Amino acid sequence: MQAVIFAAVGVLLIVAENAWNTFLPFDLTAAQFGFVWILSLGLLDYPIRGAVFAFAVGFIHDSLVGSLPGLDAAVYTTAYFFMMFSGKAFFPRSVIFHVIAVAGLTVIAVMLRSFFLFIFPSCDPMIGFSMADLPMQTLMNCAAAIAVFPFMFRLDDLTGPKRENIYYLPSSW
Amino acid sequence: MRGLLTNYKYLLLGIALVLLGLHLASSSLNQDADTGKTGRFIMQVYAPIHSTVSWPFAKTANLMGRYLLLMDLKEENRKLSENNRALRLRIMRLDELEAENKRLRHLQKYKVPREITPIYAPVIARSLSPESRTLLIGKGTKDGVEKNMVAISPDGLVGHINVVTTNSARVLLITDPGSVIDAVVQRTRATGIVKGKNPALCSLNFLNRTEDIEVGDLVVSSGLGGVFPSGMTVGQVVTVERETTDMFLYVDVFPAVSFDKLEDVIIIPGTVMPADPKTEEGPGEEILDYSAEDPEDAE
Repeated sequence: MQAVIFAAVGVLLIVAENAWNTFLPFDLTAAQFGFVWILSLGLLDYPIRGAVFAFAVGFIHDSLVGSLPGLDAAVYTTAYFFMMFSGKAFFPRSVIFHVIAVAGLTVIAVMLRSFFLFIFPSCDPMIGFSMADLPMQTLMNCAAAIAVFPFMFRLDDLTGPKRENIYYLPSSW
Repeated sequence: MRGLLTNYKYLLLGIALVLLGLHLASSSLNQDADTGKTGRFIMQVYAPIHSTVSWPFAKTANLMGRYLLLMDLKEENRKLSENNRALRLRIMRLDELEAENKRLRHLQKYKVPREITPIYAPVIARSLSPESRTLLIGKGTKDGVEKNMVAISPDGLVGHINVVTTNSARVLLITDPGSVIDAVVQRTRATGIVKGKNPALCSLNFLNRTEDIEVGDLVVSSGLGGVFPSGMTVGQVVTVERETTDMFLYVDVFPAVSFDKLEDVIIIPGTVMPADPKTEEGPGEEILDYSAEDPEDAE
């Protein structure tokens, strides 16, 4: 059941990402809600489900934006595992950590994408790479992280198994 | 080996998924950016979901956008009104330029001998009172205008300069009672004197009562008298009265030029010829002789 709810949230966030310019009456770089959502899953304790979601969201993203099918799937999955392993090493419930992690992984994802394209024959590694857009994209993803991460934690609290651990209140951020 | 798989199962899962993604990407390289069946299926499924989910948000955003537009509407309306006024003024100026251009092109129909430089002068005032029918033009002695020069328009004879100053001059119209022109009836070559009668008409005097004059005959200047060149259209005969006891005919001539609509005139010192009506080109330096075109004379 929880997986279905998570998937529904993921779909909503993908729709929000793709309909960003429809919602806003002014031009603003869209936050990668799907990507941020995948990273938030990395801090929850569902590694297999999270990996599958990461792959699926990346593949959907590829299909919708028209990039090489599987490219973003690989990038999202890699970013998910980065987040999962770094969450074990750092303080996983800190908003500051979320923001820094999302910012770093946004940059890493862009670099990974270019690297993957580099290893493919007859592909320009700079396709879709724009240094001018990167700071704004990172900023928007960080802003999205401030909303998405706590929401996913709360959702996990409500729908997931009761665990005695590491849930922190906002006062401890 | 089993322990290794257990310990690193997530890492291995991640590597497997990444490799799967890369394999899919590399295998699709030869498909010309086709998203493949899976991609098309995803798009097909996603489209209705996207429409359904985003519909209320899109409507809300649309309403908000309209509200924001309404907030800017007053300012936008003011700017558009200013633009509209400026454009209308510009259109008025352009219309005026276009009309001036037409007038000047019309004036160009008259060709003058090359040694004569015509002076194009704007009409700046007009007096059409019964006692004095004159035009004030915006060219004077500094432009080369001299007394007794002839004012013409593409339609015909206007008058002659009777007063000239440095930068303006007065044209005595052919309808002025003091204006006298030696003229001929183009068809019959009967000669007479055209004098101003009233603001709308001239009279053709001293025509012998035996002359064959009909309504509609064209009257042109004869060139005698030393002021007006020959061949200039004066007007058209509108009335012919033949009294049995008088020696002369009473003929009224309607001027060819509409003086109340005149905006520019051509000032010439000497001979002038109208354009060839067939080609709208003047015959060069030759002096047009209407008598040569008269079929009766040719015979």
